[in-house]
Amino acid sequence: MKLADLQTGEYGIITKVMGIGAFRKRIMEMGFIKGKKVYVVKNAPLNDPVEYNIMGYEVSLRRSEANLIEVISLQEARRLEPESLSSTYNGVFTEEKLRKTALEKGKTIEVVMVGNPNAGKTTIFNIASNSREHVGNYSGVTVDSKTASVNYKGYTFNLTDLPGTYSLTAYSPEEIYVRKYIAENHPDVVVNVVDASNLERNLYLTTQLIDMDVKVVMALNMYDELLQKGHVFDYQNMGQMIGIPIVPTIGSKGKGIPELLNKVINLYNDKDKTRRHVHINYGEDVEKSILKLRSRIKADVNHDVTLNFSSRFLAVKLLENDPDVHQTLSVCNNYPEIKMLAAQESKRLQSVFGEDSETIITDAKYGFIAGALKETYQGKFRTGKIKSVIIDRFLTNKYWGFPIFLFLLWTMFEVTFSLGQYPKDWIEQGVGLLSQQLHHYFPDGSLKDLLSDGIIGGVGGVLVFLPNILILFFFISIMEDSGYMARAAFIMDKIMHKVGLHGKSFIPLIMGFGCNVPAVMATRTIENRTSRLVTMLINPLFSCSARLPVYVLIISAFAPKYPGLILFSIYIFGIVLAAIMALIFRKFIFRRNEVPFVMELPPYRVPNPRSTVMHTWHKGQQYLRKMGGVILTASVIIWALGYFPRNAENAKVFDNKVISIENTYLQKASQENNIQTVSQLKKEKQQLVNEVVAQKEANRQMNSYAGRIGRFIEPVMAPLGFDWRMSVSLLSGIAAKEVIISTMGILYQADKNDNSNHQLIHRLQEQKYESGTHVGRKIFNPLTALSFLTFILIYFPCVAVVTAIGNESGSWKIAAFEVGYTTVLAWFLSFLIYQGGTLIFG
Amino acid sequence: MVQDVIVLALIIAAVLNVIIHGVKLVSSKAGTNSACGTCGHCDLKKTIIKHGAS
Repeated sequence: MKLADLQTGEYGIITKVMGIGAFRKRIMEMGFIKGKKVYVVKNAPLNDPVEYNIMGYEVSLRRSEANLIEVISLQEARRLEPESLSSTYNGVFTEEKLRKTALEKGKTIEVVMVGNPNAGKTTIFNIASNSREHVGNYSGVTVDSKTASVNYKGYTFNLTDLPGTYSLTAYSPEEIYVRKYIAENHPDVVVNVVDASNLERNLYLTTQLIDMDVKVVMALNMYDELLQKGHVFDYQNMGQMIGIPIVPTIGSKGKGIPELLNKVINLYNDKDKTRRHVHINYGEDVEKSILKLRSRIKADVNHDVTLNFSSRFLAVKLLENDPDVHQTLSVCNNYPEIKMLAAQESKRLQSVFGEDSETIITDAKYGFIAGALKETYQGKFRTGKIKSVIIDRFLTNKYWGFPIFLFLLWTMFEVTFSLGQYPKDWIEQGVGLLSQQLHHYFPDGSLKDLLSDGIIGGVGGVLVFLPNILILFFFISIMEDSGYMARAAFIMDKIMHKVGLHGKSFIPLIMGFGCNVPAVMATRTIENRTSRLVTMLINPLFSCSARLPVYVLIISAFAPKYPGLILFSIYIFGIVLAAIMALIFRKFIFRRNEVPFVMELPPYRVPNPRSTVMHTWHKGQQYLRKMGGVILTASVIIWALGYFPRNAENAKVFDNKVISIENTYLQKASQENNIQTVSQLKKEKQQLVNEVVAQKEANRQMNSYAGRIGRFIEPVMAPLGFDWRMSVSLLSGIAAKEVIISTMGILYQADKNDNSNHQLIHRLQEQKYESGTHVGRKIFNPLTALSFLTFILIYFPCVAVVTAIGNESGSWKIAAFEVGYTTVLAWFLSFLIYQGGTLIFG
Repeated sequence: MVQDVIVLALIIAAVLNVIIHGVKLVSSKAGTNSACGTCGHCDLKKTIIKHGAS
């Protein structure tokens, strides 16, 4: 009987808890588990909810919830006593006896068998139950459900053989029947019989059972046929990936049936470690729709519906325009709202993908299956779409897959660089023009200096790289939308395994090319904590787009011959370094094994131009927003640190020097009659004045707050070939990596007397040491540039990433470790490059 | 003089901005929409949904 059937004052022992997902978990956490005694304290005035006493405390359950808990009452226990005993039974029915009866009753397992037509369900059903149902080798032998009982290892299995069905959509009466049976009868375990010789098609039904969030054991039937074909299937790995225990069976020979029943017992008793609920990823746009629909379906008023069906399953079915699910939900108070939203979302998906939502979801399911099989199955299998199979033959080929991946990456960086150069030059000219106009029309003063050197020099310096960023994101967007990014993760899977991670870790890592913050957050898809931590820790080694402008600037200035190749090499170096670090972390710090995942291989699509443009523009907006926020703020602060204090005494010394030069010139010029000689003297005077003005500016900067900070850290950075300005720029890059450029733009100011030399690239090329042993020598050379690039690639991720790591890992120690190891590693490698290079090349 | 006052005001605004963003950044809950704006990813939830975590 059900808990809801107990009357006030009665009590019973729990024999079974049904229901799905969150409800089942919550109810069990509250103490409603097998063998516990429950009293009915009282009923609410309208008989709902009911107050129960369990484990010494009172709890109210709705009648619909109590209907999902099976109990045995005293009366029922007496009824169940063998007749011979009950007729002569005169004594007290003790609680101990009641518990024993409850235990016996709790050993009854309701099992349903589902599977594709002709997968061998009925054969297994017959062997397991010793029945003699008609079995044929053609589809649709089972047209109605059949039940049989079998005793095994002290358990009673109530087996139900349901009609064969390819899916749980509402196309045929069988499909509706199977779905309703599972939802309404709450079987303890669903045995999904799968034809091993036709895995891909059979697994489609499995994906729907996953969505339904029921306990499933998979009987991998006709396993012998698979082996005879010489195919290899790592079913244990597959089971772990999809969270379903798999037992190979040969129904015709009765092989594997005892193992299957053992697995059912384990699963029923919640002792199977493979079992977990996984979510099939339908992609960004569909998931967005699912989330919206789920929030409406899960509304409190729909409680009774969500007790039987997983809200995610219902949301997916609504997007598939399933009429039967509409019927189920029509009892909900907010059904009109749900219906309208489902229609809206289906329409939206159709406009984004150019296909109906049902096709999109089917494609995603086949993507999930293809990904799972690709990793576990060796042999031929047909994926959802022929087109995808053909393209995959090339793009994920054992030998060519990796070179193609590298080639595409190289193309991306080459185009980012070369194509971006033209608009970059235009913006640069525009910024230069603005600066000149400001100099011309704005009265002298600190505000003019702030606007010209701080804001135009700082923010303008970053703005010029907007085209490069847009091109990079355009490529990333095409790769994501076309389905290639998932393949990239797949190609990397082997390497990732070698470094102790799963290929799925590569997806958040690839996202790191955009921004490390969402990439760190995307590690949530990785269930295993140690894998997640390692992925988080190596993520900043994947160069984010904020570092791209710095790379472009330095490469343009010091290695203009092969810019694309060098940019590509930096990214690859980051990836290789990440792999090495992952290996080290796995070997010495995080040693636990991880849970395998399915990497979805969605079908290839021609990227929707609207969607690509929108994604690219979205990133462009983010970049511009960042410029108006953190970069502008940092530019003002860095400028102020470089501008103050204004030491009038020091300035006076240089001004006096200028006056003295001017006077000397005037004196000499007055004594000279030859015009050519006067002109020569004027030139020499101007050169001397320029030198003194430059010395004055250098002296002022050296004594500014930024200069003092720079000189303070310079001894640590000098072995890497960095002067104090580079050191301050790196320090400011902690706020955001683009700030490195704005800081360089502010600190490496143009010679104010030379209007042609306003571009930062030229300024960097001309910079010379002003003090120390290298005085007069150019600061930047290819070796310093390489050392600088290496340092930027590796060192301290920006403060937002560090915070994200702290929040996501739940440990600020991990965040501190991230900061520490990246900075030490950056210093060490830059030191090796600079000092090693100096030794070799002089 | 006017220029100096404006510059001073801008510097104070920038410093305050850093403090406010710093506080927001540390107190923002990952995965929610309460982002600080530092990284430009104001709708972090989208990213999580995209990759199937829930």
